[in-house]
Amino acid sequence: MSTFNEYNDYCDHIEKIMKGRNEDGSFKYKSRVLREMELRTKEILKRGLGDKKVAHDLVMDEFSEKNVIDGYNEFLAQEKEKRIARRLPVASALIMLASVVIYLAIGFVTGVWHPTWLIIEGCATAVLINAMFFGVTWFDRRKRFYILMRLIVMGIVMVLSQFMFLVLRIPMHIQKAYLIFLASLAMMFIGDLILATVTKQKLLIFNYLVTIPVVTVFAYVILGILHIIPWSWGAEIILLAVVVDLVVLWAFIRHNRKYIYKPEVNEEW
Amino acid sequence: MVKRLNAELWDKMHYLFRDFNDRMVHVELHYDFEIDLDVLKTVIICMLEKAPVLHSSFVDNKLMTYWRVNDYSIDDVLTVERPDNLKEAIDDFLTQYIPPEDKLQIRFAVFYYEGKSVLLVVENHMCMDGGDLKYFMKAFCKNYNDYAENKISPLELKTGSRSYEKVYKDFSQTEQRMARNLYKNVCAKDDHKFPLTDNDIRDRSFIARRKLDAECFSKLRKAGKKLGATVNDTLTAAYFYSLYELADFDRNDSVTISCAIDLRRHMKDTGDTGITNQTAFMQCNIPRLGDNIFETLEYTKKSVEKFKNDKFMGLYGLPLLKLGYSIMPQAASEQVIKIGYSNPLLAMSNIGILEQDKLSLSGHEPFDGFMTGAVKYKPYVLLSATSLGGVLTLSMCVRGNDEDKAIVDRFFDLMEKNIDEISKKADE
Repeated sequence: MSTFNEYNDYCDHIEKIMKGRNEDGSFKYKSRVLREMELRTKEILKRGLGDKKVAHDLVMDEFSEKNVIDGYNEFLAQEKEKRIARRLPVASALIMLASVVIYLAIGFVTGVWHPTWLIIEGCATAVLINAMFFGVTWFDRRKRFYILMRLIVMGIVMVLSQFMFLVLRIPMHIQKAYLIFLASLAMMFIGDLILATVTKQKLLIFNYLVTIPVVTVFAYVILGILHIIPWSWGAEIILLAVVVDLVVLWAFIRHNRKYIYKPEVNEEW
Repeated sequence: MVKRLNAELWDKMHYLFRDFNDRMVHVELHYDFEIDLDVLKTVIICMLEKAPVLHSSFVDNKLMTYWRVNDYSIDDVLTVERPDNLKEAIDDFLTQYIPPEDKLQIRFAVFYYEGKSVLLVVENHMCMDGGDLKYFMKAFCKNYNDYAENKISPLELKTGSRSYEKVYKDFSQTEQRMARNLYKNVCAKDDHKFPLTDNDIRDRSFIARRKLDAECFSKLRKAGKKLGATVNDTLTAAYFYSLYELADFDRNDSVTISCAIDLRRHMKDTGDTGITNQTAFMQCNIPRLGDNIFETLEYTKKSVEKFKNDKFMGLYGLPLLKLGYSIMPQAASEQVIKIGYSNPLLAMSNIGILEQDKLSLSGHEPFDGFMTGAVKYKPYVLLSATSLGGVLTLSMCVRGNDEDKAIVDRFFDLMEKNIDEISKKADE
């Protein structure tokens, strides 16, 4: 029996608000809210409040329908996140185990041990990227540690590119597979730009202005090494990147011009 | 579990102002009866529970800032005494300093004397400004009355986001974009200062006040109407005129006084926001003294008019501050903002009318009282003005010595003289 059993209407209050919400975990949430309401009542009384009815009313007001429902939606989102976080290591272990079994099965059945080990490598890459992606969404939901999100996105690109390199180099025998690492540097900038766009960062325009020339330069170097374009085009390519940058900047300024307000206060005496 | 609250933009800005003032806002209200302590305690606890920022400490770990909500007991918040020397007790209480790291950001006191009571409140400006403190006091009195008379639980206090961004909420989409693009540094750039003595470690905080009786204030309002000026315009003009005389500024010098403006003017309804700061400054500038107070008033009106015609009055610089605090850690952003920020040397805050009927307790209206801003550190000064029952109170909170007290007193004499001069127009 709770200390504040005179506040039994807390239960009625919660039940009334939560009526019809029978998702998994609703009981857990309702119990949690009840416990919080009781603890909160105790806490308020400890401040020196003599009137228990006032403490009760204050808690009822604090745990209003809106607050309880908002809390429930947040609780469901957290529970879902927890479920994913709990399943992630198990699923990852199973995938890794399955990849090893498949690799061994292919090896013993066909006698081919190389480059089938790339199956294990591919699965490890997928598991790692999945975990990193989960990390990004975890931070994004909390709207915190954007810098960490950027680092994780860069990590995802690096992990993916090392696997791509192995695939291009080993089974496909492409000599210039190392270029994938150059491309991955450009991809890091593109990934950062996508992250900034998705998370609606304020200084997005700077991402564009930096990404366009950087990616162009990397593209020029890669295409140059592959002899797709001549090296002599360097100046033109860089000029093109600058022109594209200027066009983007012009479009940005043009778009924002209508939002520029000219104050009347500037005139001096 | 430790509960945290966001440190909002204005919280951080007022924290940054620690070099210029003590950030305390003060209220003094006198009642002709003895306030019921049990009711008072109940109301205070309820209001603090509804506004957790008032029982939080400000944490600055150099990377980020936030409020940590603390436990407290009513005895930590409320002081009750029957002092022998009432004036001294009031001054001692009002001039106290609450550090942002303290577990409470507000203190109440009730002093009983001759069957009467004086209610005093001191709170950290980082939590709320004068506008919301006025609202807080009205809600406080309503809660007191509801509980004392009808046993209605004292729960009246708006709650919600304390974010500065709420100021944009009633703008159209296009206006919001415009307002959020006002990246402009709008600091005072005037070197003229109030002629106080140099800083000394022996300096102590004091609150200088001067009351202008109801008749005098009424005349000033009438004269203002005749001259097409608001009370704020007339007070600012008197401030300018007195200052030139007191500080012996060259008559042809241009002087700027920063006047506080309530940004809630941009919001249709503030009921869904928590108690917070929504105050900015407009730079009221006159080109020269003027041949008489009326010419100075004309200059003042013209300067104020320019701001009033601006639909984004007071919103300049907010996006720049937000950007500064968003992209850098706290310690770095403070340093960068300090480079671009210059605190106004001369400022005025017209807090306005303290409505007697809304501040009444158990049917007793306050017969005297005022509100005032923070204690400024020399050479910065802030003149606050409030009126209660038609009586205008001018106040200036300074950390200084007896000589400074005399200077401020002389300033108030000049203010009175110049207000009288303007008021003469009422009879013409």
